[in-house]
Amino acid sequence: MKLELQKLAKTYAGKSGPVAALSPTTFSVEGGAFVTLLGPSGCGKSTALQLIAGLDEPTSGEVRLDGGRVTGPGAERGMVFQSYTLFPWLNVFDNTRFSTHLSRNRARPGADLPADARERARSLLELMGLKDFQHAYPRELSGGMKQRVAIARALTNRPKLLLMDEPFGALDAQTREEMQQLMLLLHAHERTTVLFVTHDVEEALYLSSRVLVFSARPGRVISDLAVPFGSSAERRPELKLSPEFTELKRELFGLLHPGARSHDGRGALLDKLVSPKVRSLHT
Amino acid sequence: MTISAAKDLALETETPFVDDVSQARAEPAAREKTRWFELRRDIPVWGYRSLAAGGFVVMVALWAWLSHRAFVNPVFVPTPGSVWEAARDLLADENLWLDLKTSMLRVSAGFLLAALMAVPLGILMGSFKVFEGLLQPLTEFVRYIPVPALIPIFMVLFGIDELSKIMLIWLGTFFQLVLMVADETRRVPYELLQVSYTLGATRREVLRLVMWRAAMPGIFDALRLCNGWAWTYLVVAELIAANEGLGYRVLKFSRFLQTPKIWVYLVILGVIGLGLDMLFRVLNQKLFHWADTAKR
Repeated sequence: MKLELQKLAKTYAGKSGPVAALSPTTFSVEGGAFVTLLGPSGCGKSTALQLIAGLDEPTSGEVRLDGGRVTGPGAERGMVFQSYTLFPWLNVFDNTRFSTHLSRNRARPGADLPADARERARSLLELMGLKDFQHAYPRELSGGMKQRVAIARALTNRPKLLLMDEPFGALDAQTREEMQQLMLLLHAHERTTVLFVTHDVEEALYLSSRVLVFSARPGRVISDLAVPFGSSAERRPELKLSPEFTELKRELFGLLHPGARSHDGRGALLDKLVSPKVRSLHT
Repeated sequence: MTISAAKDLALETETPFVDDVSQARAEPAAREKTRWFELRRDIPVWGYRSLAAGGFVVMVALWAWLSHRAFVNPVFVPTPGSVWEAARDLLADENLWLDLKTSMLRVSAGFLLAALMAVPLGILMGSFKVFEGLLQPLTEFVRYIPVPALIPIFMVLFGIDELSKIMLIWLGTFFQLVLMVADETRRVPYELLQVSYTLGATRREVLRLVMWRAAMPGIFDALRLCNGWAWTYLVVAELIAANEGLGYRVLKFSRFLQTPKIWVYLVILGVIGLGLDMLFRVLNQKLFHWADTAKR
């Protein structure tokens, strides 16, 4: 698997002239990697992911997967969204094996036989800790469980590339950490190439083998960092507390917030928020 | 719910102190005080049902009181007693059953025809901008033409038999329904379509496996509302050379100022409407149990 972005750029037509969402961006991803696109919100990292998925068309440049140009969405590029996208009328198991019913996936050379696909869906759910919830419907699940089903559903189809657009963005801190651990387990086990979008520095460092840092809008890659903490299988939560991790975190934080803004210059504004009564006490 | 409670246990196998927690929760909790006027908050079922029944009781009581006042003309407001007598007479009369059967057939035919056409067309309009552009403004236009104004045209086009009555009910409901179905289809989250594409679905498969399935609970609710309108157009439809039917009979009674009989028929129409509405709701819950409760 090799993914290449060549001068990929996207401009939207805004109300007051065109808005550049993504400046021409060039990078490539090797098979088996866990690459994170890290940047502030609205920096175009999600746009890049949509373009790679083929859900949107680039203004210029192109995406190539194993040499072939991406012209539209396809099953070899699975995607997990931030919002919950399970099919509400299907139970967990039927959601997970949704792709096995689709004509293109059945016609694909080397596709699993129906029985094998069913077995794979079942094992993925078991790996996700959802064995007992196979017959539950999405509305009965918590947010973390929904996202686990969404990941399992995307993987059932054996995609070459898994695109994840802030998949844990809507989850609480504890569930998020569980999901991160699960992601590492899955990556170690499945060896699927992952392209992960987040604005969380810690999440990016903990999960990925490589981090691409995006600048604010219009987004462009300002740093390409190899993360030296070993393979996915070796990472444990304690890693987040190590000095090396903290040091890298500080470095990335500096990149994301150049000249971190203090409340300088806003003193007068803040003063206005204080009620006159209190202010008179101060003076 | 038990599932969300079990969520924490799904991943972790070691959860110490679980016993302590469950014991603490098992303590009899103080009975929650019922708040009757909290915004959007549920009230007890018994309270809800008594209020619903109470509404009817108050209405009937008010009517009974009013009908016995001297300043009220009994021709316009008959007493409950006279309506009850009229009901006894009418229930024994075979005309009532004939009226019921005829009207049911007319409404069902008009409504089913409207539904069969509006649901596929509405899904197309909600899915493809081409169909929306072609049909939406046209539909909006036709929707505002008052149905009774078209009676002469319908008599010329469809004659004065059953067909013109059925088509009039169809006209009253079809254009509203198409727009509602299109709206419901548009309400299907775009991400649901996007994720289907990334799973390998073709456009046809997205339409066949995702789009209409996701829109269905909403569409079913639109059908429920439209069925109500079909019944209101019944009276209009039976203005055309009818010899029986609930609407026709009401018009005839009013010509002879037989108010008690009018009331009997109005109550029957109300009961039919309420019954069908409940039937639709129950079916919706059975068919679309997976949908969010807010949608039902």
